[in-house]
Amino acid sequence: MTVSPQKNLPQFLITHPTDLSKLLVGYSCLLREFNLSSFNYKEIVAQTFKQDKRNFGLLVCACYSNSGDQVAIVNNLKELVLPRSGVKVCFSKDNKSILVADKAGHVINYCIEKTEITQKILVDTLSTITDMYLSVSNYLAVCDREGRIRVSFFPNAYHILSYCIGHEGAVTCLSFTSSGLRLFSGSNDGTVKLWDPTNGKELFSLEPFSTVHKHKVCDLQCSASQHVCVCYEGLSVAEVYKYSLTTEGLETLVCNMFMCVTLILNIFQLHVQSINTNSEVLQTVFDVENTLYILERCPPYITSYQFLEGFFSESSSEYLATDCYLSDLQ
Amino acid sequence: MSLPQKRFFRQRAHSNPLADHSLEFPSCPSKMDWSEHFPLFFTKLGERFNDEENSMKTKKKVEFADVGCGYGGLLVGLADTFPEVLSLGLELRAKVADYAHKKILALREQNKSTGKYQNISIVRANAMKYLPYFFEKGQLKKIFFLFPDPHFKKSKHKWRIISPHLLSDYAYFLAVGGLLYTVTDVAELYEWEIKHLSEHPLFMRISNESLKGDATVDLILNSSEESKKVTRQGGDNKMGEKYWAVFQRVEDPFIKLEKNTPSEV
Repeated sequence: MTVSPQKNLPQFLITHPTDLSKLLVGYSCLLREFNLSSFNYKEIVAQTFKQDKRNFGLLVCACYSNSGDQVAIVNNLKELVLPRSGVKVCFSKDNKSILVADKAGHVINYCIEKTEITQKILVDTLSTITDMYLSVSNYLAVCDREGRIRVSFFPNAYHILSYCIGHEGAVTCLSFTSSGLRLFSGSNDGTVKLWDPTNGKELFSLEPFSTVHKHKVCDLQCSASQHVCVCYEGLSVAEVYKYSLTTEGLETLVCNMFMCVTLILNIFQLHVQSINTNSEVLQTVFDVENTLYILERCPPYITSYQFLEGFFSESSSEYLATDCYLSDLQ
Repeated sequence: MSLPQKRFFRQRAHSNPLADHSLEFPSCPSKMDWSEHFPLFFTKLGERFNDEENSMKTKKKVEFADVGCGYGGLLVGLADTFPEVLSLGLELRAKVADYAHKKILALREQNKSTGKYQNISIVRANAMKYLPYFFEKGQLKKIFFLFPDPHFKKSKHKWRIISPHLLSDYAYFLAVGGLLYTVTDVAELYEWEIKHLSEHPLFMRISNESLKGDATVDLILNSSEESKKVTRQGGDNKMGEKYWAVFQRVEDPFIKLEKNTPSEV
């Protein structure tokens, strides 16, 4: 079988829920778990109940279970344990359920009991789901391309807690704060909004770029230390903001003159820390100890930033900058 | 102003609710300008009524919603039976919504002296997707589904207005204790609706016997154009039978259960 040497580029990053030295990097066709302390990686092999599979087809997304010992993977071939054209996957708190959000607007709950898997449709929005998040407070938030955010309870997802309405374009990403009581959302209308998910009230709206030239938010993530990192489609910068509990808004992050370059002046004059990268930022993710990982489109692909003395500074991780060819797999 | 004539408002019976119609809707419920629909009750968004009596009125909210109101027959009935309540009809089909709108405007004009029909209105909207843009949590006291499109084919079942997941939405907009009314002449659709409503933890049926003689039930059976057509032509089984049910929105039993069971350490 001749395989053309297609580049296998990193598509997504997942941090381990408890172990700081582990980082999961999803490439187009394979999944590697990197051990940051020993500088090597191991390939993840899927275990279906029929056989071990090495070739995944095209990977879409993955996540760790809360105990970190299991990984759920969604691909486009519908052949693995979770046969669904999924957009997002996550584990429930007790590790007994896996939730998969798919393009048809469903959130399916797969219950794992020993070797049996039963599935049940939890939610059916009538629109493509773009992101899903299950908070520690057992709120399930689902957003779609219509611009709606539906927050319900879990596992009684038929009981909707609130609809967070206010975005004027598709909502692309969601992130609960670490307490699970506040929700951040980013949208194609260029804004990042902060919500109170218990009543759907919009607490704060951030539009860091001028309205003349808005940029779609493509990913955002909250850290345990009340920072939120936002990245925009097509832009090679990741913005980090600090979330303030007292004013329920985003505050300026103390920035070092060397690190901070304000890209475009905004009318609120919010000085934030802007992390500049070489190429378009695809995804940002925090780990448990607030180390920030940024995934870009071009080499060096993944860079990590440690939070020291009030701002994020780059730490080297050159070994992560590997792209590999499909022929490597054989 | 004379009442509009139906022959100028012909429209295909079915409309795809999942398509992206060019519909107008507010960016969120608090930004909706209700003065366009209920001019006597609301000022334009941002302005305020000066006098005491009128500013009391602006605290009102729409409480009855007729989903798929068609030509507006039920709304006219609700205007008379519940004059203090604001009722809103939602209809997806453009020409039908237009007809109902013109009818309401004509009725208001004809009844200027008594001020009737100021408490009903219609909006062209897709209830399956855009309800959260119009209503807030627990805002509605009654919600009506009269003679909905049965969408007989299995592949079209997802277009049915009563489905397990849409029921979660309706439960969100209905206040606890609010009522959901449904009537149809199609027996199979009635079975489907009863099944999904009974299975949904947030709804509990109120028996038909206990509601005999209820004014609202009388309205749902007789006031809409579709119900009159069923009486004339016999409906789906040619017997003129109308199957109806009323469900009440109840508290979440799961939460009650959690509160009662002691948490494990």
